[in-house]
Amino acid sequence: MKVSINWLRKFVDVSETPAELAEMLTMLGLEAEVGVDFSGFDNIISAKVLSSTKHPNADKLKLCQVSDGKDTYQVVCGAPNVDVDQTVIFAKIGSVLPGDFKIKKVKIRGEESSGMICSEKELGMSDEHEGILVLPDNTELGMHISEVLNPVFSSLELDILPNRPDALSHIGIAREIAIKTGRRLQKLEILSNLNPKTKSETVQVHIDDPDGCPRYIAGVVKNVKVGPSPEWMGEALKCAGMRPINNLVDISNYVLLEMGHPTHIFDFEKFPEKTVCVRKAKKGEKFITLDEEKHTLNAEHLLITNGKTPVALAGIMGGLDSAVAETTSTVLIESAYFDPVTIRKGSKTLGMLTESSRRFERGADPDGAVTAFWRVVTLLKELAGGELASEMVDSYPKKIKPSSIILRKSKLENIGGFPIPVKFIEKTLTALGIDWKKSSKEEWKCVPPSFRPDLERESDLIEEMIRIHGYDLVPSAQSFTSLFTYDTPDPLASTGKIHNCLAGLGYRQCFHNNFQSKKIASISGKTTVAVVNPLSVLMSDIRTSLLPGLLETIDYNIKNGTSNLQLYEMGQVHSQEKKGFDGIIEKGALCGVVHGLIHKKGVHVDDDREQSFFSIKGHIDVLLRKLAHMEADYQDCEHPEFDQCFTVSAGDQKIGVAGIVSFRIVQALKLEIGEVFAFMFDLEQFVNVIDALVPFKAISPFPIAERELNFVLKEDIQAGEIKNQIMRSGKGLIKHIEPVNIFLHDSLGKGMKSILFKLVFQSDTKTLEDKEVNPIIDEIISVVGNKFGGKLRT
Amino acid sequence: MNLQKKIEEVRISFRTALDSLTSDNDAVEELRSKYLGRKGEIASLFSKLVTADPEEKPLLGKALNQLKNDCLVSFEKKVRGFEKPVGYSASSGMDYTLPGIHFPVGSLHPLQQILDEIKDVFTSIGFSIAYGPEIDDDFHNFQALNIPKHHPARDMQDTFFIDKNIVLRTHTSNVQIHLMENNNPPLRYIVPGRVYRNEAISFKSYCLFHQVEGLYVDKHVSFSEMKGTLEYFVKRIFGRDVKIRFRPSYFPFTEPSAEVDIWDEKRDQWMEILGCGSVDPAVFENVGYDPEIWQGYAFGMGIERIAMLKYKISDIRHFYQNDVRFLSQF
Repeated sequence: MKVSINWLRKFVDVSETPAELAEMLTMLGLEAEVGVDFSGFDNIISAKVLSSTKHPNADKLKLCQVSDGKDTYQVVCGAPNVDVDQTVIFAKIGSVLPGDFKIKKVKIRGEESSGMICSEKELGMSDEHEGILVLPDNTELGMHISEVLNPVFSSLELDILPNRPDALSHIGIAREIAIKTGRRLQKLEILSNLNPKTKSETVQVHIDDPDGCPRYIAGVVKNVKVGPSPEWMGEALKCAGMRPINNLVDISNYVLLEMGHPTHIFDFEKFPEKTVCVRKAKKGEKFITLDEEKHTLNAEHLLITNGKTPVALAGIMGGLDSAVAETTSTVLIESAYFDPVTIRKGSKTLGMLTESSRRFERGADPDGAVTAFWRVVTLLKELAGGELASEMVDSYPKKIKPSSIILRKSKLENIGGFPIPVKFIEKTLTALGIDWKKSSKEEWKCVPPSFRPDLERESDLIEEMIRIHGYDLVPSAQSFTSLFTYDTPDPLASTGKIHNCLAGLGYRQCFHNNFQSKKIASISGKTTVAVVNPLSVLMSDIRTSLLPGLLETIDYNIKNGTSNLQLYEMGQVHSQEKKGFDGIIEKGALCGVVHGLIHKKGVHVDDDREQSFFSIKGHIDVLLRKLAHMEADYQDCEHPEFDQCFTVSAGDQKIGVAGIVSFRIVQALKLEIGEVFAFMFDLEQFVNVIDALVPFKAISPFPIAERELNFVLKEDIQAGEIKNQIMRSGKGLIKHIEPVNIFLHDSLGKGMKSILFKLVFQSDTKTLEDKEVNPIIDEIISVVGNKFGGKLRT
Repeated sequence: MNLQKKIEEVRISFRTALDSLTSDNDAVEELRSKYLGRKGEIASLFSKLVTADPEEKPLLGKALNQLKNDCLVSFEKKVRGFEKPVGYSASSGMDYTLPGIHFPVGSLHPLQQILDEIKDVFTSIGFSIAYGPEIDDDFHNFQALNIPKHHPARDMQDTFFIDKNIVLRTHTSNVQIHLMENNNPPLRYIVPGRVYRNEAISFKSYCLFHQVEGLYVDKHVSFSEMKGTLEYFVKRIFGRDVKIRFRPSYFPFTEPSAEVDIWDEKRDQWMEILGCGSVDPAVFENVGYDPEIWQGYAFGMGIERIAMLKYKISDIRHFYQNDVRFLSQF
């Protein structure tokens, strides 16, 4: 909201600069920035146009002589309204206008121009750029612009939070300044002796929906003359960001900005039955608003009608048909209190946020409706010559009762955590407009004013006390109290170890968007959770897997010059396993991918070395050995995201899968990347494995015995099968077994290979001798021969 | 001369010759053939074994074998040493200016690093960590937090809906409600997590971001203690000299509410970094805590915002682009 500082001065003394005022209001919770302030506009002054002639070389330009009272300058001016004897704002050479526009000496179509006569837009005051800003004739010449314009045009830009409808007005802001500084708040001038002696007009109000419209005040004013508003009102509106239209519209807008209460002025000729009705719209009912938009309504919308046809969307906008025109002479004033939720629903469903709806949906002042009515009547008399011709009809079927709140000093200080004197409390209650009585020694019975619907409970008053006291003056506790808790502070503490281990292995952590297209999110084979109101169709569903994001990142980085990549992400994935909210399953996931080369050819490495499934397998081995002190177990499996895939288990716990990423996904994502190898873990299961305590195992003091066995086998027999068989035949004495060489050659026979296994024997109880090891070796040779047709290589 | 003595003589002369051996190929070959060749000194000792005393034969044979083995091993070791490592030259030693052997460098995402820092600060002063669902019902994300349907405060958070009453959480505050529903007071937690806002993607906003929520409920937890605690936190993250201010704000679930700003020297302005306040009694009532007995404070901060301020990052989209040239800077 734009606030005119000059307007504020009608209600409270303001001696602060705009910047100081903005700071004060911000610290009161009314976030403010300086809107217009000419203090820093050096070399921009008031000046007089001495002469204005046509530019010799351009039809639309004029050549002006401008005087600042001392010197005279020649200026080329393009404004249509520039004229002799006008007092204007003149930017001299060397000055800088908003937008970092530097004024320099230039030649325009051959004529020298030594400065600029400014429009409102060039000065950052408004969007008005049709012509130059013309000052009153009696303005002194050569004055700094801030002396000329600041008193009238300096303004603030405020961001008012939704709980403070009272602050959406100049008087509301002035009240805050008065409370904080202790200055006097000037009351509004309301003439209440305007009731007519003879009531020549009548109007009736029917409220069909008292919940939607608890109060409706109406009155008829005759003999208004529509015309332009006086200069002071136009300036005030402009300064507060509204464009003056005519006196009737301006009066309603002025009262809205002044006291925050929306009113409406109808052409009374559109009320042939002299009746105002407030009712819910019918489903499908059509209505055209002032802005010429056609709306189809439903039963949630509240309408004002003339008894027959609708004339306004209550609290949101008037109708096109009932708007005041040049010829209007009798008007109906509406000053009502509408229910916040009703107005909000209506404004939301129609997508119409207006100055009026903004105030009603936050809670207008039910008593302020009376004040606003008389304020409009007063201004209509002063500015449009109108006379009230009816009585003020006040229909108030559903009384808004003020809250009655007990404020306790003990509670206030317990919440605040610091002492607050009784004197301050009572002074602040009064300044806030609260009607209070001491109910016991340190307790007050408070009735808040009707313009503060946000004050309903003791906690609301406690907030006001601390707010007005000043958050900056609340002492900061210098120590903290704590609680003993007996669980580990972070149930997912082990994820930290995973991050560090992966970083140590050379993986970079990524964070990806959860939103994907339905197609991409469905690749995993899971049913996706879809968003009702997505940002776009490409972001309509929530990811079920971390893999697509990582693949896209590989592609992005290749295109930006890095193709050798090890990346991972840890994050949540969602799937719809059953219908409904309970069927949405959220899981923590961990996914790593490798692409490109492990080693590039260089001084230490003879050849490029490509990533492979075995790099991923090596990484998984490290993760499990380091974090869980276990050996990973791999089993063949099928998975929609992999072309070749293996389950990864630790002990009995399956923790994930690893393998070669499906080319189908790469194609579906339209990526240009090479083969990708990946692992995907269920985070919870992995963390469980990591968190399981592995007790110390005694170190065997006895020597190891090493043996090698070189089997010739059919090519399709897997090393793991033989390894497992050897383990089973080892009588528990084999500590370690590993294939150390694989040899493929025709000399072994067609389709044959040899695998050299290295076996390490060790007993926990004694030194092993040949007579114990040899029978085991013989047994292994015989079983491998029988089961796999393996023969020892000679 | 007996054979045993000969064996020792050969051992010594071989060692002397080996010690002075240079990497010259001819010299290496000469030494090899002189001692280890088919007609070399060791071979000739073996031929003499035939004539030795049968009783001494096994012992001498073992000693000869030992000699042969020792010479071979030390010879090979010496010769292997002549195959110099990359970057070695006889005159100047190692060229340490060559690159080290390459290992891939990993990194934690900057948001992870900031999150870890935040966790550290709060766990060090007695907070536990809790996690909660990203998809939640309207009750936990809004109503229980004192944001009824059709409340203007709903405009403060543009929401993604899964269903009429199911949303992608707009803040981590939903976990406050879960925590209080499932635990008796007192309690003291921070809650990190991902949250979602239906906002167009630009340099300053993304459709999701990360928050850390805090909640402390006990009998005398005051606004003043909250102020001290959060100042401590901000100073731990941004340094002890950072300028901090608390200013009044509005959140439906806290009262009084405050926004915490830090002074940004470079931008010459205050920058918001977190929101906080005393827990609104309505929230306590919604979870069945008696607000006459229990009070507390809650706070929430955006991790992206803190990371952006700390590292001077001006475009939030960097965090989700995962450009290695970005990631490698953290």
